[in-house]
Amino acid sequence: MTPCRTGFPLAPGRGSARGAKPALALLCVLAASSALARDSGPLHRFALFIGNNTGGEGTRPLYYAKDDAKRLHDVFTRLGGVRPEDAMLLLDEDADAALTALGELERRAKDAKARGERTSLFFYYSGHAKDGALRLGDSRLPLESVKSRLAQSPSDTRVAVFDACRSGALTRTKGVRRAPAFEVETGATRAAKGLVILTSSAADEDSQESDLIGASYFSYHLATGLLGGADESNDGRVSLAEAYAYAYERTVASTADSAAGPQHPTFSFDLAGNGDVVLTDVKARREGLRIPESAPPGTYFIIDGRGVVVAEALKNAAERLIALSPGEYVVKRRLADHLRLGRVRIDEGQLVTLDEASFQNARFSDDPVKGTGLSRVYERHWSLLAAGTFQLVFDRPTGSGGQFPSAPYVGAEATIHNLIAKGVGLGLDASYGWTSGVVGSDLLPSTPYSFTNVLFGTTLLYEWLQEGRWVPFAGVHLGLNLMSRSFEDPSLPRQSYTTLTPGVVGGLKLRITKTVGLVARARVHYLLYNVDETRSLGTADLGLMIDWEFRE
Amino acid sequence: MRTFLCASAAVVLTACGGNWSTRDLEFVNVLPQRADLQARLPVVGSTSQPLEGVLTRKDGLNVGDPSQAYATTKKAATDFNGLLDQVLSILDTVRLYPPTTRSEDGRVWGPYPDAKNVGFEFQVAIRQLDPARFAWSIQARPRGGALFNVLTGTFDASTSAREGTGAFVVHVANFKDRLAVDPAMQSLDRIDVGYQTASWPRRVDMAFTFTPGNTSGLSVIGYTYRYLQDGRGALAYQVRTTSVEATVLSAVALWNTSGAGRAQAVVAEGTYTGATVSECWDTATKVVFYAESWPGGQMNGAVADCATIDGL
Repeated sequence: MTPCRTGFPLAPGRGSARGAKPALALLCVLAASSALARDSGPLHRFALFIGNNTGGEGTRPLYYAKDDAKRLHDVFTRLGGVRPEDAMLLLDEDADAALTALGELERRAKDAKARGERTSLFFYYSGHAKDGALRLGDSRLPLESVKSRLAQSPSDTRVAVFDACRSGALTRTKGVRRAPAFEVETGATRAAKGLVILTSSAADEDSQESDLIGASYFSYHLATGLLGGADESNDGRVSLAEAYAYAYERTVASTADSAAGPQHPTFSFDLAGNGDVVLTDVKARREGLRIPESAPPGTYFIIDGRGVVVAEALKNAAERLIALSPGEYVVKRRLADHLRLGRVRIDEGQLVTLDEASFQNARFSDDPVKGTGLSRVYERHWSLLAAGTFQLVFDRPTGSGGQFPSAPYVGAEATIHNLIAKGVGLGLDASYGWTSGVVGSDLLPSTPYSFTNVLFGTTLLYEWLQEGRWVPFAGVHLGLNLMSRSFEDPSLPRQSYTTLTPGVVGGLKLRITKTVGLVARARVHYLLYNVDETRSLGTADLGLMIDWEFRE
Repeated sequence: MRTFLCASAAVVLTACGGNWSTRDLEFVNVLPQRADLQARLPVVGSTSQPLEGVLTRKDGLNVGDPSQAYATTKKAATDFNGLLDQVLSILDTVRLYPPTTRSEDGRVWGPYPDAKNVGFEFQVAIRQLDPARFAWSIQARPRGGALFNVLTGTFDASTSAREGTGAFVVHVANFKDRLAVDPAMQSLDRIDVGYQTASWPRRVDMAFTFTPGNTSGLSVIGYTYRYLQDGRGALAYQVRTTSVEATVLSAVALWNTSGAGRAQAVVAEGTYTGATVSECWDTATKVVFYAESWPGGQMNGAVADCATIDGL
């Protein structure tokens, strides 16, 4: 266990930080009084979950905001001690509905408090945020008013989680343009006692979604941590500090190599006198998977029927509990050179003990993780590419009877990405090639000529790893070649040849910045010549290009 | 969907094609080009003397006089080129267009209507007889009628399609009564042209066959032109006259790169058969030597002042 540093600059019980050290500090600070908090009697929990994929004008739809809200709602109602009637789930609702729901929960909390109960309120939001307001469809909910409401809430503890953008506009980010920083440290929050605010990313970062996990990174890791993966203390309960530390670490790791850059969750807390908050009690639920002490140590991934990792647990010497909904799961353990795979079935109310010995070895290529399998429209955007290429013609030199010369080309290409499906793009290109040489044959003396080719084309391509730094792609290309050659000898006519050239294309893009990349590309085309004779020729063009991506 | 497929197919089909053909270049190079056959007499000075023949001169020339031999040679070259222009201009036009029909051993342009000969169509055809020999023709026909020869030629591409030995015949008798022709050709039945462009000096021969009994029109019987790549050239031509003293004259003019030259006219037929007139001119086309061979004839200047011209 990592020791807590003495002399940490934040005052005990109140702080605001970003990064691994603050996360550790939060863990340390809260852990100091967690035992007291856990033994302070019954706690009546209320929770509001808001998910909205749309953010109105100037934003692009998100894909998993509602799923995030549903997932957290499910976790808290199953494991978080929130009775279903005390949990409200708002999907694609507007700001008025959110305020009404919050008011209703506040009223219930006030009533509970009047009955002498301790209360807590969990507020979760996943969606767009921009210009100082949560964007729920076309309606706006000023952030300041939300925080004021939470600060003045009658509940003893209030935990707010905002999984929303801070700024930027990159792949699968929650937001479409730079916006003022999402300030969680306001006068209202500092004055409040028992208020914790978590945000999914720092003020100058984007919050990102992923198709592979079917969720935003932060909410996904928060939810899987609450299932038991974050139970660092191994007591069968996941505290706020544990959940945050777990979500923080994995969110940073998951986004480190993304095109949008690493995403650092933040927190602001003031739990003086309230201690840590237990968010989920995996042990009490007794429904899920038990990884016994005898199981080999390591990280276990629990994969649902869609091929999505729904939970992961780092198993050390002690046993681990992972809360899971009834269903069939594949459990994966990754070793250095192969996988260990096993299947478990969890029935309602059943805690299944994992038998690692029954696992089978599998190759990495048989990894059952497939992601969400979603193939719906990915974020469309377009790019512009400036190309310098050299086209090789698979033919004899023109001075020895060949028809077409090899030549350098310059051109440009515009591509719409994710046009009809994720990864599928359609490009239009135009380029100009030129060279000079001699044409000759047994009966024709070496005759100097100038060659030009205006090439128009369209490309249907597929890109892999769009969010990564390296983006391989492949596809098919159809070119329309308008070739001509004119001769120094004025008595010879200018000749032209127009033909369609089908081909294949492949390449690799290296993102240098968020919008600029270098592309190495190769294309091979079939070229039919049919004037003097019918000949099947081919061309290959190799090029280096600069690519600009334009996203809102 | 069917409409879309048809439209797509039409786009694909119409989008392909052209006249990109190295073989076309081989075939069109078979046709004689004016640039290869035209006489190129160096333009020197600015002579404005009348283009009269040597035999129209009644008095001899003195050293320093404008050279009449040069003027006569220049006129002969101009006439020679003019005739070639008439014959070969249609071929220059053909070169600029892709052939109408391509086959493995031939190309055909036309038949095309001709604005100068309303109601007639022209066709140019080239056929490869063997790897190095070609035959070509220009034919005409009244629209819907049978083709008749206007020009027929052969070419032996000994070095390349552009360089070799060729010959062609202008079948004047075939068309002079049906097509619009230069009045000068009305007295002819045919023109035979032979040329050699494979080696230096290059050579062009042109011979005229007159309509029997016709004594009007052209007086020249034929030309032979030779030239080197550095500009040296020679033009020989025969002229018929109405003079009994010199029924047929044979003249040979040679010049070098600088423009200086020499010429000699010989009476080939007539009562003065064998008589000669020799004349040399300098780079300013002034007479440097003049000599008449008959008794009492004049001789001015020194023959040593004549330019040395060899290799032709």
